[in-house]
Amino acid sequence: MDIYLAKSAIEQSMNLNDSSLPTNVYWHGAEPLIAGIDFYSKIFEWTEENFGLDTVRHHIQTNGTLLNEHWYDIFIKHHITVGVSLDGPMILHDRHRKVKSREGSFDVVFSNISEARKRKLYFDVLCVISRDTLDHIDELFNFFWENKIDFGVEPLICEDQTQQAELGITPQEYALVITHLFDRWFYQVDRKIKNFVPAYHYVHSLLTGVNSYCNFSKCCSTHYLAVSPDGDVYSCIMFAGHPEYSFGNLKKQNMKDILASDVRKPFLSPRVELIRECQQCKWTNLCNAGCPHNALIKNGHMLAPDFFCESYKTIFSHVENALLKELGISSRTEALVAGNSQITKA
Amino acid sequence: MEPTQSLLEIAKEINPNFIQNPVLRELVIDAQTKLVTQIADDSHYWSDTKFRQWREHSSHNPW
Repeated sequence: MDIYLAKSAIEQSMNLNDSSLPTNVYWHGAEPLIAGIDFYSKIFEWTEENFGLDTVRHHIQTNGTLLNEHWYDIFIKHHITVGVSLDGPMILHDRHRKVKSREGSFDVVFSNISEARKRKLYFDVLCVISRDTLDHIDELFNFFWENKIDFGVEPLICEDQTQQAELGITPQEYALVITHLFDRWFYQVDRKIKNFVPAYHYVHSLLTGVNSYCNFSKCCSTHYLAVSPDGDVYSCIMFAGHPEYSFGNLKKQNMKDILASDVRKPFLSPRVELIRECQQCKWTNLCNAGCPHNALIKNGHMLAPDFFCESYKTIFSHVENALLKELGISSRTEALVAGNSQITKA
Repeated sequence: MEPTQSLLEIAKEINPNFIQNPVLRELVIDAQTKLVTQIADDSHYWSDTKFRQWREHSSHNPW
């Protein structure tokens, strides 16, 4: 992406955003660090000079192979939060994440993460789970737990059905993975992992009634948009490469006109209200029919439940039971302490 | 349909000091002290509260 397009996208988005709320800019894939330090230095300095540090916040999602002291310096200087893609221990990570020599990138990435941690850089880890992960779920959790790394997992989703069958996981398998990881996270004795995504989001939704997971946004296009390097604007980067879902192009139109596009309208309607299966579901008000892109992959259109719909149902039930049990114990402790206190007073 | 009403009600009423799990305790405090709109803003826009959490303990990936 050229720097003028980047600045224009940020400035126009910011001007359309509620001025009392920050505008968050996520730089991601393929590998955003390829754009170079000079590109980001200019962008970060420009946004700070023109809008201030807390008005526009930058986040970078990187594969971690190019990180070095120069990147750490610039990220720390400009308060950039960094997400690193690390698919667990070497045995898992190196299966699919390789450098040009075809060797796995685990050693480089883990070394860079360790250095980032020493420098107190704000980072977390995004871990993609595939069919290869299924036999190593405990190893995956143990790896992050032993290294005290908070992490999020995302299931691999391939648009190509053959690839999906070969590498992807089924909704049932995804539910098994997440409920197992949830138990490991929720019942840690030595709490080395504070947050594990998406479990955190399920707990958040069930306790507050407000969902915090992008997959469960009612109308994600009201607060997300993605701009591709060539200027096409989408609801989300998952739609990049599907020109029929482009709202317009920033090189030819301004953002206000692009966001008025008819292509965007379906993304602003609550899908959950239009899908028949959702009307009978217990979890409708929390999952909001899930991710429109996941629905598109499975059904060829978005007015259908998410590919992982059945997983979400299982996970919500599992987490709800765990919370009810845990809060029940806390409630009984509270009652016991209150009772003892009355006895003491008497 | 409001399937989780009982959980929401418990979260509103329970004394968070008796909750051992720190993530659970923080969320219960949020549920008791913040307006729903504020919780939603924190979740969707990373308003100041959320961003402070990140700085204190990097943890949250928006994807």
